[in-house]
Amino acid sequence: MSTTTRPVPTVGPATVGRDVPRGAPRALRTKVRRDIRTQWPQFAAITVTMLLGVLLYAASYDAYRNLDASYRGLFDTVHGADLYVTGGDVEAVARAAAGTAGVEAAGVRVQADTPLRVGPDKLRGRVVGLTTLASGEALAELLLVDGTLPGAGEVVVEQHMADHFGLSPGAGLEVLGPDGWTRVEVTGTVASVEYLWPARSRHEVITLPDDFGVVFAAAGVAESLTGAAPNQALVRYTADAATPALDDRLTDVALASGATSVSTWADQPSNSVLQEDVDGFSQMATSFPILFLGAAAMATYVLLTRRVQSERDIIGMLVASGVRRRHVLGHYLAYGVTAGTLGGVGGVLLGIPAARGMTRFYTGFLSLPPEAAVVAWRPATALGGIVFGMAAGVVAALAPALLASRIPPAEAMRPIVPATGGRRSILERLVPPLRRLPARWLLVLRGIGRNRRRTAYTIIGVTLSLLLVLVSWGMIDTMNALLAKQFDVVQLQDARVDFVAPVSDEALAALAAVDGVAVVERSVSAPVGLATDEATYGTLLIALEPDTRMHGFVAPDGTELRLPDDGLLVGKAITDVLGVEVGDPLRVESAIGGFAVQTQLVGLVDEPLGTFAYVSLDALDALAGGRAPTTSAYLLFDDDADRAAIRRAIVELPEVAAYEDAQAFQALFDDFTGLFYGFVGGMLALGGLMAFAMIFTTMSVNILERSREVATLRAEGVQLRTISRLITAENLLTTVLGIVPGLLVGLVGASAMLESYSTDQFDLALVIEPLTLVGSTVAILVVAFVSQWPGLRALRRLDIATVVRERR
Amino acid sequence: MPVSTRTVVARLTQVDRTYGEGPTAIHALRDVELTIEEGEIAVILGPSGSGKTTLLNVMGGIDRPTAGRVVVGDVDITDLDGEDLTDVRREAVGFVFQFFNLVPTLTARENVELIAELTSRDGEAVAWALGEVGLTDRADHFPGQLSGGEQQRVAIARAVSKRPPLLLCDEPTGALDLETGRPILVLLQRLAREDGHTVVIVTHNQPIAAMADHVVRLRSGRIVEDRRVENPVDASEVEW
Repeated sequence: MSTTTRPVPTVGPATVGRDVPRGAPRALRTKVRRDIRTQWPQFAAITVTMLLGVLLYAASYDAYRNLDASYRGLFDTVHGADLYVTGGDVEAVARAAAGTAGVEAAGVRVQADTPLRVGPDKLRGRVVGLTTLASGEALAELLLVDGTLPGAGEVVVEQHMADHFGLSPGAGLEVLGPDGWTRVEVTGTVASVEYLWPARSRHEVITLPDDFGVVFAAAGVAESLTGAAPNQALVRYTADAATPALDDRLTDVALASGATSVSTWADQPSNSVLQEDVDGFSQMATSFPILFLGAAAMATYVLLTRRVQSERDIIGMLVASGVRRRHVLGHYLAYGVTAGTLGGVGGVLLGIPAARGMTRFYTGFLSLPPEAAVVAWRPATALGGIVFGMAAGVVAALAPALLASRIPPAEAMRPIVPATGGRRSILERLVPPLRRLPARWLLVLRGIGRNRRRTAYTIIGVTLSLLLVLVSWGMIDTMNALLAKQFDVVQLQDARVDFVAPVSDEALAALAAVDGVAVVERSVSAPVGLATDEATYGTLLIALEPDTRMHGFVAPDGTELRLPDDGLLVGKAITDVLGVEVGDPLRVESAIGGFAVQTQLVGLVDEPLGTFAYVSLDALDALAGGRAPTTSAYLLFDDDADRAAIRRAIVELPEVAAYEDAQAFQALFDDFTGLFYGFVGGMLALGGLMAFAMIFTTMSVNILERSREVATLRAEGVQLRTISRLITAENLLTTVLGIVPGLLVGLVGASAMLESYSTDQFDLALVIEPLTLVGSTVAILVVAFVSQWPGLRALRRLDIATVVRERR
Repeated sequence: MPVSTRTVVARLTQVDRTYGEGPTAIHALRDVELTIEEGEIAVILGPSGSGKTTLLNVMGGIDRPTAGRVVVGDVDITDLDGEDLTDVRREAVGFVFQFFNLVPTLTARENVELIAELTSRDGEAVAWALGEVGLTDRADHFPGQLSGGEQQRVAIARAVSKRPPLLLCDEPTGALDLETGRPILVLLQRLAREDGHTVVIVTHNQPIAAMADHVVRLRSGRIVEDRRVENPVDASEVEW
C-alpha cells in the first residue's frame, strides 16, 4: 500500500477526482459575522477602543507632521536664521560666517529691548532692525499680515502686539531712545517666525501682552531709534549643512569675537516652546495608541480565548471533518482582524479630520498666517492607522487562534474541559479562618483564581486605566500645585515696575506715594551668564532686599530660605545644566558685556517657573563695588486697593518703562491652563472609556463563563439577587486587586511623563492630591460596577432549562 | 469468522492505543483486529471506558495508534502526517457526534454548507443532504429552533453532504430518547442500504446491535466479540 501526497481512499461513493475547493468554507465567514452580532457589545467595546487608539495616532501624528511642516515651511519661506550671535564684534562674526562652507547667508541687525508707549500704556518692548544683505540674499524676513514694510520713521508691529493694542497701518506708537520718546508710524502688521510664541527670552517664555511687544524697523531706523549699533549676527545654513559641528565651529568664531550669547534655532525662545509642543504631539502619537491598542488587544484576547474554549467541540468537529488547521487559524484571526480593521478604518476616518481640526486650532491660536499653515492629507498616515489597527487585531487574536488550530479533532467526541481552579484561594491559604465562610462566598474567593490569565488581564486592564487616569489627573494636580506655589509662595508681589533708566530713591518714593501701594522694594535685574570653567548658563540675575517680602525662597527639601549675605541662590536645575553643587564657585558675567565677578552658589531654590539667580542687594552692591543701579521695583498693595487705578497712576510716572500686574500674569496662566485642562479632560474621558471597554469585556466573559453554574444555582432556587451579589463581589474584588498595582504604576508613569516635559524653565515634579487617588479608585470601582450590568442583565434572561441541558 | 468477498473500507491490524506512560498508562485499545466492509452497518458495543470512542477515533484518523496499522480504503493512514490525514478525513470520512456539535449561529443549511463546501461549492450537495434527512423545510432554522432529533439529522446531513464512504457515528442517539432516536437509526440504515455508505455506530445501547450487519463488542480495550449478522432487523423495530 503506498502513500501519496494527498491520499484519497478510493472506496465506495467517494467522489474522487472532484475539483476540491482550496479555501476555507464560506460558511465560516457567516459564522464570524453572526458571532460578532451575538456578542456585539463586547466587540463594539473592543472596536471602539481600537478606534480610539488609531484615532489618537492619526490625529496626533498628522497634527505633529502638519505643525512641524508648518514651522519648517515658514522658517524656510522667511529664510530663518540657524544661529544667533549676540554681543561682541558681530560684523566680524557675520563676515567669518559668510565665508564658511555650509553657510547660505549671514548678516547683522540691531535688537534692543527698550520701553514702548502705546497711548497711555507702557510696555517692555523690543526694537528689531530688518536684516538686509548687500549680496541680495534674504535672511530672517517678515510675513506681512497687513499694510506695507516700513520706511524712514516707520515701523511694523508684530501681530500679537498689534492685536492686543489694536494697532493697524496709520496708527502711531512711541519708542524710548537715547533722546527720549520718539513717535513712529505703524505701516503694517507682521508675523515673525521668531515670535510665533511671543517669548521675551528663554527665561521669560510667558509674557503679558500688555507688557511685551516687538516692532521691526529698517536697519538704520532701528539704530537711530535705539541708539544702538548692530549687536546681533544671524547665520543661515544651507539645507544640508545644519549640523552640530557647524554650530560648534561658528560658536568658537563668535566667542573669539567677544560674543556674549550664541544660540541655535533650536534654542530660540519661541521655537523651543513650539518645538516642545510638536514633540508632545509626536510622543502622543506613540504612547497613547500603544496604550489603547494594547488595552484593546488584551480585551480581544480575553474574549477570543473564551470563545475558543467554548467552541472546542465545534473546532474538533471541523478538523475531524477535514477543515485544515490553517483555515481554523484564519477563522479565529478573522475576529481580531475584523475588530482591528473596523477600529483602524473608523480611527482613520475620524483621526484625519481631527488632525486637521487640531492643526487649524493650534495654528490659529498661534496666529500663524493661514498661508503658512500646512494642513495636509497623508495617505501613509491613513494606511499606517489601518495597518496598526489590523496588526493589533492580529496580535490579539493570534494566541487564541493558534490554540484553536491546535485543538485535536478528538475533542469533537469528548471535549476535554480545560482544568481550572480546583484549589483553595490564596486568601484562604493566607487567612485560614476564611475557609469557614459560607460556600457561596468561597465561590467568590476561588472564582478569582479560577482563570488566572483572565484575572491577570483584568488586573492589567485596571492598571492601564489607572495609569491613563493618573497621568491625566496628575497633570491637573501638578499644574494646580505649580501655579499655587508660583503665585502663593514664590512670587509674592502684587506688581513689578521697570524703570526707563536707573532711578534714585525719589522714584521709589513716588511709587510709594501712589494711593493703594503699601510697600515698595528696590530691585535690580539684569541678564547674566552664570559660568564655570566648562560652561555658561544664561539667566536673569535678580537682586532684592535681604529681607524681601516680595519673593519667597524654598529649598528643594521644602525649608524656607532667606537671601544670603554673600553669594547666590539659584534655581535647582542649575545643578544639572552646569554640574555645580552648593558651595561651588560661580562666575557672574553680564550678558551685555563689561561685567564679570566671582561669587559662590550658596543655596538652591525650588521654583516651578524658570531658573533664576537671586542675590541680596547688599551682596550685589559688594560685588559691584558700589551701589548697583536700581532698574526695577516690586510693590505690595493695600487689601482694598483699586488695581486699575494704581496701574494708571504708575504708568503715568515718567521714570516708569513698564508695569506688570501679578494678578494679570496669573490670569494669563489661567487662560493657558484652561486649554490644558480641556486637553487633559479629554484624555481623562478617553481613559474612562478605555477602562470601561476593558473591564466590561473581561467582566462579560467572566459572567458568560458562569452561565451554567448560575443556571444550576437558579434551578436550585437561589435568588437572582444573591447570584448578582456574588458575581459583583468577585468582579469588584478582582478590580481591587488591579487597583493596588494600578495606583503604583499610575504614579510612576505620571511622574515619568511629567519628568519628560520638565526643563530648566518648567519644573514639572509630579504632585498628586490624596483625593485624586481616592477619586481614581472610586471611579474605577464605579466603572467596574457599571460595566458588569449588561452581563448581569443577560443572566436575568437566561433560559435555565436550556443551559443546564447543554453540554458546553 | 466468516470469509467475505466484499470490499474492505477500513482495516485495523494489531492496533494498540495507550495514553500516558509507566504505571499510570491507560491502555485504551489492545491488539485490536477489525475489518469494516463496504455498505455494512457495524455497531461497536461496550461499557463506558471500554475503548469504543478511541477505536472510532483511530479508524477515522483523528487519533493515532500506538502500535499496529490502520488502513482506510486503499490508504494506510497509520503514518500519515497531519495534512494528509486531513485529506483522508475530508474525502473519506464523515462524523456524527453524540451532541451534534452544530454551530449555534449558523442555520441548518449553513451548518451543512460548512462541511459540504470542503468538497464542492455548487450547493447541490447541501440540498441533497438536507433532503436525505428530511429537513428541506427546516433548512433556514437555527439549531436552537430545532428539536434534538432534528439537530442530529442536521449533523448527519452535514456528515453525508461530502459523500464520504465511511460514516462514523459516536453515540448518535445518546442524547435522544426512543421517539427521536429511532428515526435517526432508520436514517443511518437507509444511508447504508440505499446510498452505499458504510456506517459505524459506537454505542453503549445494546438493543441497537439488532440492526447491525456487523457487531463488535469491546471490553477493556480488547475485542471480545466480532460477528456478522445474517438478518439484521429493520431499524424501525429497534426498541430500548
